[in-house]
Amino acid sequence: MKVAVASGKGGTGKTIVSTSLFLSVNDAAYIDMDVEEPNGAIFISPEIEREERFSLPVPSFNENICTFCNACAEACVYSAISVIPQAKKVLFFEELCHSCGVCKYVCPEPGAIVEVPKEIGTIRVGNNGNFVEGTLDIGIPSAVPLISGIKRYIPDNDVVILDSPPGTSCPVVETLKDSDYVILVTEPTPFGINDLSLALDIVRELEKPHGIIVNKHNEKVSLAREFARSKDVEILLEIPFSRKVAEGYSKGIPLVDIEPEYRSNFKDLIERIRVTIS
Amino acid sequence: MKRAKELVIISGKGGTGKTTLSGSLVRLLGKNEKVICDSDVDAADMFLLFEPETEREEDFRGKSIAVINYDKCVDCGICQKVCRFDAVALEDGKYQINPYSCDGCTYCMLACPAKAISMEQQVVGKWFISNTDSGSMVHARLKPGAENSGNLVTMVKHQSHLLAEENGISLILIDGPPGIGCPVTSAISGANLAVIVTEPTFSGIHDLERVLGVTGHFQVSSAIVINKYDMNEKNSRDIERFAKEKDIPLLGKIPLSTCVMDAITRNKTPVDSCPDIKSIMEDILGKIKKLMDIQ
Amino acid sequence: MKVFVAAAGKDLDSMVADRFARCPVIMGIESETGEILEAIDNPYKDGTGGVGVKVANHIIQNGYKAAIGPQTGPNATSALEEGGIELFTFQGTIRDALEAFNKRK
Ligand code: SF4
Ligand code: SF4
Ligand code: SF4
Ligand code: SF4
Repeated sequence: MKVAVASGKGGTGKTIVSTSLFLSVNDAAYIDMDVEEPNGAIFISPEIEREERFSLPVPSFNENICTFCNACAEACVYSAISVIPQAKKVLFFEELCHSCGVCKYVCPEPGAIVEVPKEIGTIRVGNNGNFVEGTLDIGIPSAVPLISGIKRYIPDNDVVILDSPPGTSCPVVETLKDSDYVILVTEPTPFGINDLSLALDIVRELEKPHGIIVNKHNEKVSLAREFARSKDVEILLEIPFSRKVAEGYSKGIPLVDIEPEYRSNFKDLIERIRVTIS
Repeated sequence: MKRAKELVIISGKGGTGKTTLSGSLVRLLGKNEKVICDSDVDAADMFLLFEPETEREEDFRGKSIAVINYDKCVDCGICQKVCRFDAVALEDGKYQINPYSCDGCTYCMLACPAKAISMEQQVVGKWFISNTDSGSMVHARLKPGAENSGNLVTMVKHQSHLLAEENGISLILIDGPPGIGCPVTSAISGANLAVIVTEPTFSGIHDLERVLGVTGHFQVSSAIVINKYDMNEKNSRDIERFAKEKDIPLLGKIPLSTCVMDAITRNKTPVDSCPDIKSIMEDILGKIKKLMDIQ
Repeated sequence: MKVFVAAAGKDLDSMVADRFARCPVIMGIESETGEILEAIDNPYKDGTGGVGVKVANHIIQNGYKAAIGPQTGPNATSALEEGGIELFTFQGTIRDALEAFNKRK
């Protein structure tokens, strides 16, 4: 069972929840798909066993074979190529390239374009394969290929926790696409609820079963409960605001080590989710 | 008239008080002193603070995606074979293109032997020009799951410049998106100053380094504000030392304050109701103006 | 000489645009005579990404020898430089730009 933990935005306790789930449940795996800011490892302190660079194919041009016909530049919808017949040169703007392969396909001269790997990030595997994380290199335009690359490393544990990137853009869709259930983490502030409602839109659009965990819950503020009622979503758990937890977080100590009684809450929650999706 | 200067507020992550700072700066700057630009198009929330009245609303067209004409399709599966974005799947006996996965590269269209595929441009969001009691604001909303947020950011920035030009305004205050991805690079490229809001968490310095990598890459000068500095004073000192080493100006430190949390819960900026915070923000604004050479 | 202009409008009294790749009008001029060779709405203007390269490719592929406009972006600049396209930055009307261009050393 793959349970994705997502939030409208970063900083709402997504990592607190996903690492706590992993640390509370038997036979669980933790996959950090938040490749722009992976930080589950800080709480889990995994023993890394394998580290691999991940790459995508990009074109390389052989100017001795190329006839400077411009077909590749014309076909590249991302404008990653400039063909300069005057200088007998092809300029390639790697940061614009999406590795789609079209240039090679349209090139009439065999050998003028060959594809070479370009590294875009690192995938690390640890704890006997139960911990996987990806880190995107700086300046790489899209996280999606790396996220889809990580999927190949997902083990077949009973429970797999997918720590999703924040937001509602493509990388999030790429993560949620293959999940069986989505936990949305929010804070009971107007910003939090606004972000939650955007995240909810996408989860509904993808038709995934889902529920909400409220972090920094405050008995005096009923925003999250009202929202959940109006949208007919279940609140799975409320984690009250606590300075102790916030300070622990700032030092990289997981919630379930600071407040061990949460372990049973998270265990229950997984069992409830199991019932919901079966 | 000279192109307006751009001040962009970013953070390596969401939830570090970025909007608290930008919201406060919006309040402190005069109504005609700046154009407000919310470039957090994936999850815009500045509008919550300023109750904008929408004046203009436009569709934003993003990438084109592939569409199969089944009258022509001969079910050969070549489209699926060539697609590198896993966007084509055989479902219910038909090759189907998943609009979320399609990157619009045109490979399938070029390769389809039956010429059954065409590219159709998608409306992926909307952008708005609105009036608020703190000035004009350009903001946008991307459809959930839509890509090209970087281009939408470029669009709201462009519209902000047009608006600034029209009204003789010389500053654009940009609330940037979180993270370090493509929308952020669009938000900071061409900016005169990027203020990075950071928090003294375990990953504070690490996140900060990543953001600085991006601003450095685009040669945008940076400055730092530490939010909730007293949440972990040791980490805050580390950040300060780090900033000094890297020669990056520290503009101010904002304490963890229940007043700020209350203000946000009521859709107010902290300068409206927290006098201590207000004076810190004023000080920060003063330093920003000096760095940007504006009056 | 065949000169490209990033233009704000379609005649010589229009201004040179203030943005290169996203200029409203793409114009081609014969610099000696002032004859307008092309003046079309910039099809790349609202494009998504890589617009600078698209316009640079247009300039290179259509045999222009120089380009008048504001500053170009980094990718477009390197493409134009490789293509031996002379870059002439100018603010003002296209007519004035041409005059200044013809007097340049
Ligand atoms: S692989 Fe695709 S994006 Fe990259 S240069 Fe070739 S056509 Fe352009
Ligand atoms: S399509 Fe091939 S031959 Fe033509 S310009 Fe590109 S690389 Fe050269
Ligand atoms: S390549 Fe064309 S004909 Fe073949 S399955 Fe795809 S759409 Fe149909
Ligand atoms: S346009 Fe490109 S990404 Fe989209 S389905 Fe076709 S091959 Fe795949």
